[in-house]
Amino acid sequence: MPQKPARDEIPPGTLYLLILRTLALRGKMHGWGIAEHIHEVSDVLHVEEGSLYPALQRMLIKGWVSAEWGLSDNNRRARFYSLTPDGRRQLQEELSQFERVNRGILRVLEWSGA
Amino acid sequence: MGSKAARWVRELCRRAAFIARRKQWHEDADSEIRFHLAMREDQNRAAGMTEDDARFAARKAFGNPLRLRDDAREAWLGPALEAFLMDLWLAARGMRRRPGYALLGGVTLALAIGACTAVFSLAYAVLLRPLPFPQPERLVRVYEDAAARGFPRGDTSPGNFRHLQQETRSFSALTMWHRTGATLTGEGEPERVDGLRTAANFFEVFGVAPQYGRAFQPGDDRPGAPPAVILSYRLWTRRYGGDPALVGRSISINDRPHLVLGVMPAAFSYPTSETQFWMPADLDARDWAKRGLRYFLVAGRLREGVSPEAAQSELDALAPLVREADPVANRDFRAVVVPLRDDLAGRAKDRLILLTGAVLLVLLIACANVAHLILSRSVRRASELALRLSLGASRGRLMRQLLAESLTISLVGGAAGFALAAWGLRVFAFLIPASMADTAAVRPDGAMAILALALALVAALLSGVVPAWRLSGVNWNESLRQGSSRLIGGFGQERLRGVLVVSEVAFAVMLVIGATLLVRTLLESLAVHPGFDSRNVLTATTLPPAPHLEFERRNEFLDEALRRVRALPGVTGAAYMSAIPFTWKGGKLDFEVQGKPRENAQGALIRQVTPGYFGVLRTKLIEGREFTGDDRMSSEPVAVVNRALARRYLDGNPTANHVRIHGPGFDGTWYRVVGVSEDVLEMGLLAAPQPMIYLSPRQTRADFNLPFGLAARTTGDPDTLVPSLRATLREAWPAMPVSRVRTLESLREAELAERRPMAILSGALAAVALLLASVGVYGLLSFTVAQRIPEFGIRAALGASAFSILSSATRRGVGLALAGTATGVAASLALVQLMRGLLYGVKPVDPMAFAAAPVLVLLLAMTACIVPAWSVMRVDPSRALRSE
Repeated sequence: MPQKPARDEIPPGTLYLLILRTLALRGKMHGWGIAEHIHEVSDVLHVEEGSLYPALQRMLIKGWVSAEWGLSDNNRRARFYSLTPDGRRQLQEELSQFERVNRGILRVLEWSGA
Repeated sequence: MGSKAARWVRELCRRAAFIARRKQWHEDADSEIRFHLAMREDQNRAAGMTEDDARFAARKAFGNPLRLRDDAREAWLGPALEAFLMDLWLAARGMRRRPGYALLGGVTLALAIGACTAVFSLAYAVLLRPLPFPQPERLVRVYEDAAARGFPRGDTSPGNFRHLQQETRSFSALTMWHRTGATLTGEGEPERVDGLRTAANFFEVFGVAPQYGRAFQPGDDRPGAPPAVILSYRLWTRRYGGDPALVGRSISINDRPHLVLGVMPAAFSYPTSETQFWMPADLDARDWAKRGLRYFLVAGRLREGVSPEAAQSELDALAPLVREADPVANRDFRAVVVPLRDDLAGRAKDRLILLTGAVLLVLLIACANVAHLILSRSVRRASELALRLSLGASRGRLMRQLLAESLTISLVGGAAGFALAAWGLRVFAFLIPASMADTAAVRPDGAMAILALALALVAALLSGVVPAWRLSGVNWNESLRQGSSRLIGGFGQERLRGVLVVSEVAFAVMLVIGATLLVRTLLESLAVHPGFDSRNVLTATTLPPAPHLEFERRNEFLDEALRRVRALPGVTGAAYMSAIPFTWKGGKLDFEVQGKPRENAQGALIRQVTPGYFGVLRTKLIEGREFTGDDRMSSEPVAVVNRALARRYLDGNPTANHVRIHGPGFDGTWYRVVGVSEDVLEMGLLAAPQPMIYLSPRQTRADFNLPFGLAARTTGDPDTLVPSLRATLREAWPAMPVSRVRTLESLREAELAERRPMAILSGALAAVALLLASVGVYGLLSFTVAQRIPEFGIRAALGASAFSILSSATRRGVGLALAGTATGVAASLALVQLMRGLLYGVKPVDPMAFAAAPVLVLLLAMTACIVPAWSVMRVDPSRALRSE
């Protein structure tokens, strides 16, 4: 048995940001690829299938991503997602929001009583 | 903000697209999951797992694929929609288990939705659908107001038309036409068709160009211009085989070659679908100057931005000038502007508005009944509802479920209603005025289906919301503990049902009063004596062999035709007349009574009739004699007048008077009055009798109206004589067209054409309303009575009389019926004033309608009360008590 990979929950609300960022950098990707990319790059984050696919569907409804069928590297039929202009705008928004929140959290953590 | 809305709309479209391609989506989701699993397996195998372990581990890591699919699906549908579809499915399944309940509601709504769909579709087509002309709202008709002579919208004269055309600024173009007939000869059977003579700018005003060839040009209508014609699409295809090469060739009309200038498109049929051709007017300068001879019909196109009201004020300002121009002929000249749409719709507008109101009332009653149904049934489902509530279902959730039920019934009713409406369009077709037969044709189409669907949704809301709100707010657990038979009271359901019953009864009373008025109108019109005996009379219109017959030839023709027709077996008498009653509601000329100032006369209908006319039609002569063969050019000129004229204009002994007529062809001869006839209602069965003067065609050179009207009295069924009459006339003059062979009775019937179906239809709607309202009252009473059975049992056991129990059981129902009746009568008092234009012989506040209708409704409502109450009387007290 291989070693179980480390599993850390993705903070709520950041899954969209991660998917958007992944697609923005790597272009067209299928669901599996997105999950693997996040896992590999982060080393700790594991994307649950049960959250990934519903999230992708919601992003389709919002019009942030578009989907088309194609062949994967090993010649399997897969659904590829890519970013739309709306999605690019959304990524900027989510990024700045994330940074704002992060800065806030850091400020709280680093405060040592002035 | 706008982009946000746009984004929302785009999102909605994507959701809708998802619903439309649901099946494809499920397949996609499945194959995406399969792909994911396959990738995981590969990874596991690469890490050294066995084939089976790899697959198992992949599945395990993934979780439940079905669950995933459902989650993703809910993302698309939204939880509310998803749940509502489930509710609909549940409701439909529930209906299948109780088909009677669904059927009753469905049939009720189908009737109401069907009637609404048909009437609304027709009302839209007649009153709202754009007319097939460019910028139709700028088109108006211009009439002379001659209400004093019985024509609120009367024709105008060439002189007055010219005057208006030159002086007005409101119109970008004003055009005129008058009706004419034409005998087509040449190839094929000789044929008589109707058409118009128009000013050259006729088509310019309507803004429609011919499909082939050209429209009239200025100058086509000047005196001496070569004869020309534009054909209707219908005539062109039917008689000339639809050959485009016909344009530029000549065809024979009235035995003269006419150049075919063009063919109009099929969609153009103004003013009626009977119009088969248009010819340029052929008037000379003398004709154009005439102001007293009124036979012009006028239409105009308003200038951009000019309202019909503005045009009317301009014409009003101009009227004194037109009056001054000819103080005799234009004594009370006034021009009226009527928007083309109103002109075409005419009386149909009143009918359609009235029926729209009536079918809406029926729909409301039907919805109230379905609401009753849902309330009654839900009480039986009390335990189910209580269970759901106690398991944590929200009030909204329960409401949705109850609404789904009314929606299911309504959708079934809507579908059946659409089918009913498609069939009913034929029944309702009489509502389309003849002038709009082409433009307002209605066929069952997608728009009508959408209308039925929309009505079904409205019905679902109307019949579902109130019960759903009420029921979902009930404390069912409390109710359950009290026993299910007690569920009715206590939470306002009783009051709600009371309101429903009162409104149902009120609506039914309104409909019954309206229908009674219309039925009484029909009966009154049927009872009208037209001034002749329409039974066993055959009529025909014939044309003399040449269009312009000299006086002598004309009388030879009339005599010869009558001789042959009278010789037919089964014919007891025949006469010619310049117009068969009801077929020509015009021909009024000014007349003068010797020894009196001319200003007193308001004009009279002038008719030429051959000797024997009054005998053939059995029009009674009140005084004097009718024409005989001895009245000739060489003998004393004589006239017969009708009672209306004699009463109004002749003093003392009518037969001592002389009259003369001012009009084309009349040379100022004084005619001695030799007879007074009863009034013949030439202007229509329901129009007031007009003063009339009859002359013999042997004693005047004035035009005998073309075509000639022939009437023959028969011994038996006149229809059997149609072939022999045609054959006889054809035999005498092979080239003579014989048209419109009809019985006089059918002409009389046609006068009632719209009243009869209107009375039947409103009667049927009222009957349906009555039935539904009775069912509503019955439903309420049988419920409350059933609920009180134990109480009645106790009373009976304590010795209460049967009567006191009966009256106590019915009191509430009767009270509600009374309240509803009073409301209905009060509302009707205001509403019947709107029906004034549709009534004849009855006043809007007709005592009979206002007394009989409520009594009828009350009787039915009370019967509906007594039936359930009666069952109480037969209840065994001991059993009733045990049922508690």
